[in-house]
Amino acid sequence: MSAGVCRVAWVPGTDTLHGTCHCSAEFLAEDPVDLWTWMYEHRHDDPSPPLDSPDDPAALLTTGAHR
Amino acid sequence: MAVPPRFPRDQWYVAALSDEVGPTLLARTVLNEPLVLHRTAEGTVSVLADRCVHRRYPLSKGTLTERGIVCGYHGFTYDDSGLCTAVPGQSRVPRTARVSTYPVVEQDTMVWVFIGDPDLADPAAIPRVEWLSDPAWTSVRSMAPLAARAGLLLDNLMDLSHETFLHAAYIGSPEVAETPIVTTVDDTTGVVRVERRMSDAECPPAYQALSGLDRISRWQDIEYHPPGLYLLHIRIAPPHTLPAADGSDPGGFRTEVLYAITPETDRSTHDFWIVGRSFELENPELDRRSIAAQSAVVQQDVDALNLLEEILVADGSDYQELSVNLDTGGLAARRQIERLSARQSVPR
Repeated sequence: MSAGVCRVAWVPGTDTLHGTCHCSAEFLAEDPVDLWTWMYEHRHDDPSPPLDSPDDPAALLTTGAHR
Repeated sequence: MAVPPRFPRDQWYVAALSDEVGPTLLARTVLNEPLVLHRTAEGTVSVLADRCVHRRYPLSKGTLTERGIVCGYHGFTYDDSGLCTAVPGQSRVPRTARVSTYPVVEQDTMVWVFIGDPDLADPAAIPRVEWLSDPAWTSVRSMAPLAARAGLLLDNLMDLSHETFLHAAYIGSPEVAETPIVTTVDDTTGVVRVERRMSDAECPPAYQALSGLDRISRWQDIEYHPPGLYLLHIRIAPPHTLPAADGSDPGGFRTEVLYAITPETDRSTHDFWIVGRSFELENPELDRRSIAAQSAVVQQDVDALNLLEEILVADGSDYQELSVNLDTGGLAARRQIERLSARQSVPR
């Protein structure tokens, strides 16, 4: 991930969007408005580890596992 | 966010395609500012406010002479710097008799004008489009007047899934709407990219004659430079084929589509388009077909967006939009417009 570049991709086979900030924080959402809101409002110094490969994005969402 | 945001001042916009500007007066309104353009004897482009200081008559309704623009109402004459040099019936020209000039840059066959505080005009901020001056490429071009706000055109271009439904007779196929997209935003430059890669898609009518294929690998890579420049990089190739590691792509061909999104007023837009190709450069028949197909596609967008504008006005802004995954790129583009708007200067 280049400095300053944010990326949003569709998780294959799901309706889930996977966002990655230039600070390496990650987030899953099923609504692009929610995703961009998180992208521009989250703290860039969040020390939480990145998400694992989202085999079950729905489970990650319901457990609040978003960065 | 209920409606597409208004486009900002203090930005460069395409006011004309280079070949539109000659030794005659061209009236064009950009972001509610009436402009008059012409090409000077030196070959540069002059852009003045299209209002005589005397009684506000449009200078574009006057005549262009060796002495400058002569107002068609009472004959006030202006040089290329906007200075009034002659007033009929008297020898004294009032010191305040001057019309505004605008920063202008002619680059890559387009005429860019800066709307806003001229002290903020940095020509280096204008994005380059190298293929427009590359002799290995040729292009066809035009401008479609749009009776709809610029934000609606931006929404339209950033979400190409509409091709499947609105443009099925030309460039639509089922896979465009079905294929997931990848969106990136460079927060430093504001550039938004939306990548849609279809490895095995139905070949739409507009590409069948070119490729001779029923199924194709089709790439649509959007590169949006806010606020006013939109580039679409297209690759068409046999299904499941990729360019070689060295970048060569003997089985595929590339085309480029450029849109310059220039607000005319709050509810109308200049929809400039250029379609480029790097093959069959000297093929007038292909030029004609390309113009016909692109004009038809643009007209379908114009008809749809004009209707949407009427609906937006009639319904007002008190409604809630519904956005889905396909809107990810469009929402990112809107965000960049809002970001630029937040730091614009107060209008003169």
